[in-house]
Amino acid sequence: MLTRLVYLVVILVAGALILALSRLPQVQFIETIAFEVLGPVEVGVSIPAGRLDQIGQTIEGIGQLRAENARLRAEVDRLSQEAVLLPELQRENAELRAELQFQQTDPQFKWITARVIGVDPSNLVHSIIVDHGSRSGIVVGMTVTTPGGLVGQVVQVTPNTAKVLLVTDVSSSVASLIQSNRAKGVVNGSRGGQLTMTYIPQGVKVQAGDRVVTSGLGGVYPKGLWVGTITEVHQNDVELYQEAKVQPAVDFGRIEDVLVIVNHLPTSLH
Amino acid sequence: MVLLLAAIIQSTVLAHLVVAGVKVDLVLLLIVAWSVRRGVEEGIVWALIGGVAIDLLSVGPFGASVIGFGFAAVLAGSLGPVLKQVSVLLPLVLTPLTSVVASLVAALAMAALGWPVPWPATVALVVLPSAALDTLSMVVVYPLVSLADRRPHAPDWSV
Repeated sequence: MLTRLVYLVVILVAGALILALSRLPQVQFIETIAFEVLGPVEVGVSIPAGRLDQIGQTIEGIGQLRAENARLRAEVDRLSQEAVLLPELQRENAELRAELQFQQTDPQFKWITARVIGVDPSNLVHSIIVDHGSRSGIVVGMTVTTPGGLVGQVVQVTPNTAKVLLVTDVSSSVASLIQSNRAKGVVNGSRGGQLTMTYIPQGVKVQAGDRVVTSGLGGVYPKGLWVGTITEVHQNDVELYQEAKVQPAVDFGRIEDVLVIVNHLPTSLH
Repeated sequence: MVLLLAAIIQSTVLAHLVVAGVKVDLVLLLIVAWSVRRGVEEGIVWALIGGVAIDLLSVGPFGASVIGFGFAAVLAGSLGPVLKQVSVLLPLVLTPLTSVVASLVAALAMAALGWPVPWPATVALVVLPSAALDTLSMVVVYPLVSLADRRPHAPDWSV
C-alpha cells in the first residue's frame, strides 16, 4: 500500500514538474521540434483514414447504380475508373466554386488552402492539425475558416504543420454579432461541440434562425465570417443579458480542407 | 514506438469513428492493458511515453495526459493481479475506472493551469461517454495485447 502511495506521489511530482517546465521557451522549442517530426507521419496515415468517409458515400449510391446496371455493363471499365475519379472531381469543383464565391464576397482576404491531417487525440480539447506551417507563411494567431464558416485560430506552428484551436473548444471565445439586428455578444465553445452566445443585450429580439457572424471587435478575428445559426434562445427579464445556443456553421466532423487567412493577424500580435 | 503509432492512429483513423462526441482512447487502453499484465513499474513507463505522444499532438497543456495516464497505470497495475484470475471481468471492471480516473486527473491538471473546465458538462459529455466507449473497445484491445505479450511475466505485484 505504501509503495503504491509512493508511486502516486512520484507521478504527481513528475507530472507537476513536466507541467511547470512545459512553459519554459526551451521546453516548448523541444516540443515544437518533436511535433515537427510527427507531422509527416500524420500526413501519411491521414490519407487512408480519409477514405473511410468516401466508402460510406459510395455505399449509399449502390441502390441507384443497380437501376442503371444494364446500360453500365457495356461501359463497365471506363465507368469503373470514372467512379473513382468523379467524386474527387465533383468535390474539387464544389470546393473551387465555394472558394471563388468566398473570394468575391470578401476580396480583401488572402489565404492558404491547407488539408486537415489529424484531430486532437484528447477528448478534452477540440483542435485539428493541418499540413501547412511557418514555411507557408502561417503564424500563431491567424484565422482559419472554410467558405462555409469560421473554423478557429492557429495556436501552434512548426515549419510544415500547424495546430488550430476550433471555435467549439471551451477555451475559445469569438466576438460576434447577430446579423439581423447587429446585437453584439460573445460566442463560446462548449462540451458536446456546440456553441453558446452570451452577453446579448436584453431588449433585443433574438430568434432561432438568426445568423451569427464575427464582429471584428477585439481584433482577433476579421469581421463578417459566419460563425453559426441560433437554434435556441434563453431570455429572462431578471437577468442582465440573454443567451442563445448556436449551431456551428461548419460541420467539424466532415472537415477536410481549410483556408488559413494570411493577411489578417490579431491586433495584439501587430 | 507502438504508443507513438497508437497516438497517431488515435488522431487520424479513430477521428472518423466518433461515438457520442468522443473517440476511443487507444493509447490509454494499451497502457491499462500493459499495466495489468506487467505491473505498475512498466505501466508507468508506458504512461510516460504514451502521455508525451498524446500531448505532442494535442493543444492541451503538455503533461496533462502524462499525469492522467500515470494514475491510470498505477490503478491498473495494482488491481490487475487481483482480477486477473477472472479475465472476463477484467476489461469490464478496470477500464471504465481507469478511463474516468485518467480523464478527471487530466482535466484537473488543465484546470490547475487555467484552462476552462466546465465540470458538470465535462463529466456528462466527455468523461462518462469516453469510459463507456473505452470499455467496449477494451474487449478487442486486451486480447491483442495479451497475444503480443509473450515474454515471461514479471513477479506478481502483491497487495
